[in-house]
Amino acid sequence: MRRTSWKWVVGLALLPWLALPCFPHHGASPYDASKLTTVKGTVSDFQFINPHVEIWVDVTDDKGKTETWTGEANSPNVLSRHGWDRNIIKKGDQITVIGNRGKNGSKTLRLQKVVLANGQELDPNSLSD
Amino acid sequence: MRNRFVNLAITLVVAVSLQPAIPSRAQEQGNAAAGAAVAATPDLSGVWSRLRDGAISHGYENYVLDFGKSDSPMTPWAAAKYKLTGPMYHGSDPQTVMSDPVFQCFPPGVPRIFLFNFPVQIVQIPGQVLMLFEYDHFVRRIYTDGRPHDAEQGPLWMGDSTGKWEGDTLVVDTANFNDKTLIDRVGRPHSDALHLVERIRRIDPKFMEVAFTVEDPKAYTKPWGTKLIFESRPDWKIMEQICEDNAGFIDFNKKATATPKKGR
Repeated sequence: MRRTSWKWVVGLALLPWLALPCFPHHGASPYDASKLTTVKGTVSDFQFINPHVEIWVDVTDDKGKTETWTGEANSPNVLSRHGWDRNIIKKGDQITVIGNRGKNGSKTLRLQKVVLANGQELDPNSLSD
Repeated sequence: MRNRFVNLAITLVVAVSLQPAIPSRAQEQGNAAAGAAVAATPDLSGVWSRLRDGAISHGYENYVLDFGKSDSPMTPWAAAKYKLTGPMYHGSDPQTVMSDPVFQCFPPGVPRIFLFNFPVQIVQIPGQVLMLFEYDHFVRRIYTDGRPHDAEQGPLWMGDSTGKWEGDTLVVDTANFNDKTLIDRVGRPHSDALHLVERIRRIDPKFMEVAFTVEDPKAYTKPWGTKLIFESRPDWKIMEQICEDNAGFIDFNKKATATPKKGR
């Protein structure tokens, strides 16, 4: 019984740290701004919603193993003023996302640039607060 | 007989149609007073976004996360609080970073809300100036009808605001704050004694200045403040902006369509 209680305590304490996008309006602090990570793959979902626009990209490595990365950008309000809209990215699109990876090592990126299959570059303008 | 009815009908129609054109003396005086009040009030209405990079070329500072070095020395009370709040921005511990109340969608307070990269719409109606912030739908009602601060409410997250016009400038006086919000993103504290004065005016048709002064003797040894510049954005609209995250949302659509589990 005591062990179970400790699992709960540790689990709850780690929860916010393990799941970065769970925090609303969390700015860029949880991401390592000193490094850029580039990921290329197939869009499995794109949500142009508040508080943060999110892109899910399935990345398949040389061995055929597929992993899903999550790219997080600013509010759709800010992105709308930078030429984005809800139709600019679609499921199945081949895209490249470049951003700062979560400090916790999870496959999450604070987006700094998105490159569409046709070469068009999108600015996620990540400053909001 | 029929002609008498026709004449009576015409007379009534003419009388009724003339009625709105003959206002009472009281109405005339009221309309004139309202017109004079509207004419005497400078127009700050419209959608405004704060200039950041472009601020420097206009002689203002490019504030991003904080108000620079414009503050004054902190009292021991504020310095002790800043030791706890400062690491929310500068620290590396995730729990500490995430303890910023704004990251939990608590109200940002004033003047911090001006630091956010979301526009504000100003609406002027009789007796009030409204600031409709895009960020999380915050509304500031600034009463310009001469009423005092509401001493029966609070302490409040966004304070209680009254305003008066001094020439071309709207002077906003805000008090009755709680001490849960912070002045800026880097954790500068304030106390519940915060008294904020904003002087808001159009510099020219395209730009507006907000000069604020922080008076908080419990937190700072003397008043301090700075000036911000906003650009008119007539082609922008205020959109929906929500702070709350979707991850914690209970989706009843999915629940309703989910295959029920067999009971044990």
